Amino acid sequence: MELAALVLATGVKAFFQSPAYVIGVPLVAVGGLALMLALTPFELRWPAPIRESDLPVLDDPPEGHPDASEYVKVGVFLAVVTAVEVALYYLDLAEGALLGLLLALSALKFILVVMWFMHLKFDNRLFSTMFTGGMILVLALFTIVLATLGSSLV
Amino acid sequence: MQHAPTIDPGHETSTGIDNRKLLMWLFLASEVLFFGGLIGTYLLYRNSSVAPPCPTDCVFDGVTYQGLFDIPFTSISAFVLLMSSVTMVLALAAIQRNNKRGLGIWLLATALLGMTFLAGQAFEFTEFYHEGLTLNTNLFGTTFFVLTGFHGAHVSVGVLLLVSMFIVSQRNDWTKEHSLNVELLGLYWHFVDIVWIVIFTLVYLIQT
Repeated sequence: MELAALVLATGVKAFFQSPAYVIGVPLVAVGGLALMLALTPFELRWPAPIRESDLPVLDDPPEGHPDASEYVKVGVFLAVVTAVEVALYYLDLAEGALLGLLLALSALKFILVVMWFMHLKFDNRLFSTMFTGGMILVLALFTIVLATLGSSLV
Repeated sequence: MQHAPTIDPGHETSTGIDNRKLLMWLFLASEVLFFGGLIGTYLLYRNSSVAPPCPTDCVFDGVTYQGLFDIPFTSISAFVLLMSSVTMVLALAAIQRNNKRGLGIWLLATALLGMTFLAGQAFEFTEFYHEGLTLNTNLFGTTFFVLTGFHGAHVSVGVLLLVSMFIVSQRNDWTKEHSLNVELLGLYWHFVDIVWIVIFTLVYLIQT
């Protein structure tokens, strides 16, 4: 009702000027549709009704993949690193030191997610080669572009 | 209705790698350039606004304007998205062990965390809008909303895929043979997470 009142009072143009409404309203609509589909009591032709699996749950992860507990340990470490980042933000550090520390911690989180959660550590080396090569090229490109155009960060 | 496994163990490729996985990595490589361009543009124009409001405290015409960024709030959002990566990888670990119930629980947990992040972003955007920041207020507004808006759109797509995968996996006989499907969605979701790791540091925490 509030939304309808807003549109009536200020016009459609004002509605589309608010990024919160432009993003929020379609999101709520699609989310509601997905929820209705998930909870529908009717048996649809597709997807088929829920069925229990008759296969036994295996004890071990597949070869070359870590156990679930390893993932949780990495997750806890990532949370601690995020807390350290935020704490550093509030400390009265020299600008250069703060910049270096924050960039290093961000890179550490980035690498941990890519190596463990995206499995580059355990996967075919072709993926690592592609990813590392691409990252080096991208970092070089952006450093050159930002330095040339005068970003305050480079 | 029985579905055939999505992976054919006898299928060989010239690279020795499943083509779908290779394609997902190539797609993510293009996404690196896409977000790299948006982040680069934000960094380039970060101190170029000639009108308030600003991300941090700023002075225009002798008047001091309070900064918009709320670091404690954004830190919680960043933490929520980071934890969604953990639940996503636990979903993969579950289906690799034929644990369909575990897959469903972790997929739903990931979707819920993703929706929590999106709710936080909608709240942040609303707050900024009420403070007078729109897409065309100044360079900060334009670059910030385009960068974080596109990231939010990626998270939204991810949430829709997670909910869809939850429905399909629970209504069919998903086993470890289907784990590549979960792994591919996981790659996308983790990528969205690492983009936010970079945005959180470069946009929110570093204020040079």
